Amino acid sequence: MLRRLLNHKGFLLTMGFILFITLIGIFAPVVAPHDPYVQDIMNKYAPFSWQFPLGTDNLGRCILSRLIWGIRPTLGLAFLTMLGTIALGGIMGLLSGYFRGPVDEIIMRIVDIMLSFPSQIMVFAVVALLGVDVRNVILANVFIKWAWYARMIRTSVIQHTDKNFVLYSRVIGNSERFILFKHILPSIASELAVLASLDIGWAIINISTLSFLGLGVQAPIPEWGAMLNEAKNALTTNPIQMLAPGIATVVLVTAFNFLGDVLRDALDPKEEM
Amino acid sequence: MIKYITKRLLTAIPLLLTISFVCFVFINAIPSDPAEVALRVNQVTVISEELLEQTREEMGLNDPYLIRYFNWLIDCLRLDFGISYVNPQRTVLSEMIRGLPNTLQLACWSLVLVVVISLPVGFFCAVYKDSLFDKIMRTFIFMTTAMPAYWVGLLLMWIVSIKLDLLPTSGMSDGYKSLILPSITVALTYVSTFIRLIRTNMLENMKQDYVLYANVRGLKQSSILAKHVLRNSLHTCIVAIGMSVPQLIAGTIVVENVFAIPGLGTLCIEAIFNRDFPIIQTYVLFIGILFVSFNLLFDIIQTVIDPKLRKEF
Amino acid sequence: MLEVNNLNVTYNGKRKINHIVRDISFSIKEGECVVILGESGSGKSMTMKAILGLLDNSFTITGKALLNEQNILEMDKENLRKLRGKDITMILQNPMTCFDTLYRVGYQMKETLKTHTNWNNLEIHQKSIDMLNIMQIKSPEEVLKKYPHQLSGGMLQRIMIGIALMLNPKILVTDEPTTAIDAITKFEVMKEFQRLKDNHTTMLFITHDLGVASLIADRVIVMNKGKIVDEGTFAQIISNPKDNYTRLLVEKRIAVMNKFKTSMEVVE
Repeated sequence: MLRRLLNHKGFLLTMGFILFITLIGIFAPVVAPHDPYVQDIMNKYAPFSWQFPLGTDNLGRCILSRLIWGIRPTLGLAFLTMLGTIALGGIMGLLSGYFRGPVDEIIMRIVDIMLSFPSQIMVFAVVALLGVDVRNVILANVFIKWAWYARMIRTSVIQHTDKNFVLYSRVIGNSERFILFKHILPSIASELAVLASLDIGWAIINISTLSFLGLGVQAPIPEWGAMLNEAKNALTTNPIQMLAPGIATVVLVTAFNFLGDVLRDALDPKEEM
Repeated sequence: MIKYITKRLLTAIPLLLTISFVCFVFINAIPSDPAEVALRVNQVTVISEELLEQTREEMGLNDPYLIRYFNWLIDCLRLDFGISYVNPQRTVLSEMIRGLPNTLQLACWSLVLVVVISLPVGFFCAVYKDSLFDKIMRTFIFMTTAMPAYWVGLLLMWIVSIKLDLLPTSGMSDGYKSLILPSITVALTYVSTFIRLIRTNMLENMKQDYVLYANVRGLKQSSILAKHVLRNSLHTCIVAIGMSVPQLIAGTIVVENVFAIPGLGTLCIEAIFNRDFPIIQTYVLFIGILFVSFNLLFDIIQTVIDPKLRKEF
Repeated sequence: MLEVNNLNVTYNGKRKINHIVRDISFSIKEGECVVILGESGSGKSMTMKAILGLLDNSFTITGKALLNEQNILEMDKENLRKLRGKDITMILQNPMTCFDTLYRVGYQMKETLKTHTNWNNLEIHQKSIDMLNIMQIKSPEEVLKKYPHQLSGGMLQRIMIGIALMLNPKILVTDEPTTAIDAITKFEVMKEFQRLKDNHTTMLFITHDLGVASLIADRVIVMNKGKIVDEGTFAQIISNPKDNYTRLLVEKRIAVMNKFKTSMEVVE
C-alpha cells in the first residue's frame, strides 16, 4: 500500500503541500513579515505593497502575517480535535469490540443515540452548556464525532479478533491486555489514520465556523474563522480581508479531502473487471 | 400496512422521550442555580439564602429528579417552555414563534433550490458519465465540500450585493429579495451531497438487470432513463432529501447569522452568548423532534411508495 | 439467418486491455437450435451482448454480424434498438431481477409492445392474455396486475419467454435461462424450450450445462477463453471431441449429465 502511495503523484504533491503549510505555521515567527498583533490605525486598509503583500486590515495589521500566524490555531486545533476524537472513539470502539457482551450493549446504545442527533445542534448545545471558549469548542467537536469512530473501530476490531493469530495468542494464554495492545491495535492503526485524515478537513471547517460566529477562537487571535468574522464588517471597504482567509481555508480543506480520498482508494482498491 | 405504521409510530415514542430527557438533563447541568436566576429575572435585588430555599420549594426544585422531569414534560406538551432569562417579559414560546417564520421560509426556499438544482444535474451527470459536463460538476462538488458555508455567504454578499448591487446585503427588509442569497448559500452546502447521491444511485441502477432487460426489449433510451432508472433512484433520493430537512433547518443557524436574518438560528446564537438556557433548550428540543418526525414520516413514505416493501407489511 | 464473422470484443480498462472475445465466426440457419457451450467467463454471453449492441463505450467491437444480409454491428443505435426485442431478442439469466419492481407485469409487457407495434390497448391486453395462456400461466388477468416480486421465478421466466415470442422474433437468444432457478422450475422451463424447438423457432442457446445442451441442441459450439474451440452436433462433441478443452469438459460433466438425463426421463 505504501509503495503505491509513493508512486501516486497527486498524493505526494498534496502531502508535500500540507507539510509545507505546517512548517510555515511552525516557523511563523521567522516567516511572517510583521507582528500579527501590531496595530497601525493610520495605515488601515493599505493596498498591496512590498511591505504588506496582502495589504492591511481594519486595524492596520498585516493580513499576510495574520494568515501565517493563523495556521497555528487553525491546523493545531483541528489536529487536536481529531486526536481527541480518535482517542475517545478508539478506546470506546476497542472496549466494545473486544469485550462484547454488556459492555458492547451499553456503548453501542449510547453511540446510537449520539448518531441519531443532529450533530450541528449538539455542538451548539455543548458550547452553550460549557460556555464560550476554544477548549469547549474542541470538547464539543470530540463529543459529537467520537460515536461515529467508535462504531467503525468496533467493526474492524471484531473482524480482527476472529483472525487466526489473535485466536492463537489467546490459546497460548497471553493476557487480554497484551493481545489488545500487541495485536489488535497495530492492525487497525492504518485504518484509523485514514479515517482521521478524511476528517481533518471537516474539523477545520467546523472549528472555523464556530470561531466565525464568535463562539470559538476570540477576536485578536489570528485564526482564519475569527479573521473572517472581523472581515465581515469591512466587506465593502476591504474585500481582500475576506478573500484571503477564505481562500486559504478552501485550499487547505481541499488538500485534506483529496488526501483522504487517495488514502481511502489505496486502502480498498477497487478491482477492475 | 396500518399495522406497520402503528408500529413505527410506537417506536418513535421512546426516542422522543430520550431526546426530551437529554434536554431536561441539559438544563439541569448548567452551572447556575435556576432559583437564583428566577429571582434575578424578577428583579429581586437582595437574594438571601432563605429566599432561595423558598423559591426552590415554589418552583418544585426540591422534588425528586424524575418528578421534576415529568412536570417539565407536561409543561412542554402544553407548549409552556418557560420564560427567557434575558427578557423576562417574553416567554420562550413567543420568542420561538417570532423567529420561526423567517427560518422556515429560508429552509423552504433552500429545499426548493436543492431539489431543482441537484435533480437535473445529478441526472445528466449520470447519463453523460465522464463527459465534460460530468467532470466539471464533479470538480465543482469537490470544491464546494471544502467551502465553509459562512464564507460562501460572504463571497456572494460581496459579489452580488456590493459589487453588482443587485440584492440587499442583509436583514429581512426587502421581502423575498432578502432571502435569495441566504437560500443559495444554504442550498449550496447540500446540493453537492445530493448531486453525488443521485448520480451514484442512477449509475448503480443502470447496472441492474432490469435495465439490461429493458434494453433487450428494445425500449427507447429516453423511456428507460426517465421511467425506469430515474424513478427507481428517485425513490431512494426523495427519502434521503426528506430526511435531511431538519438538518437543513439546523444548517440555517450559520447563514442566518451571516445575513443577519432574525430567525431561530440568530435567536439561538444570541441565547448562547447571553446564556439564555431555556431558549437553547427549547431550540435543541425542537430540532430533535423535527429529526425524529421527519425520519418517521419519510420512512413511512418509503414503504408506501415501494410496491415491494408495501406487500411485506 | 444470422452470420457472425471475425467478431472481436475488447474491454478497454483504465489499466489494461482485456480481450474477451477473439475472432469468432459462426452462423445459424432458420429453424435451427444452436447451443453455445462454455464455462462462465468464456465470453459466450459477451458475444451475444456485443451482437445485440448492449455493451457500453468501454468495449470495442470489430467484425461483422449479418442478420438477413444486414450488418447489425454497423447500424446506428436507434435502428438497432428497433430491431432489438422485435427481430432479435434475448431471455436473460435471472428472471427475478429482470423486471422493474415499481411497475406491474402487465405494464411492462404493454410498454414493450407499444414500442414495437401500433396495436391499441385492447389488442395489447388481449394478446398478452393469449400469450400467458400459451405459456400455461393460470389466471392471466390476475398475473398482469401483479408486481414482479409477487410472482415466482419460473412464472417470470415464462413471462419473459412470452414477451420475447409475442413479437415473432427471427432469432431467440437465451442466456443461461436455467442457472438462476431451482430444479423443478428448471424442468418446466426446459420443457418450454423443447416445445419452442419443436415449433422450429430459431434459437441461440447459451449455457454451461451439458445436460441442458443435450436436450435441445441441433448443433453445439464450444467456447473457451474467448475462442471457439469445437463445433458439431451434440453426439459428435460427446463421442469425438476435437479439442482438449472440450474433452475435459465432457469427461467432467458426463457423469452429472447422465444423472440429469435419467431424472428427466423418470419425470416424463
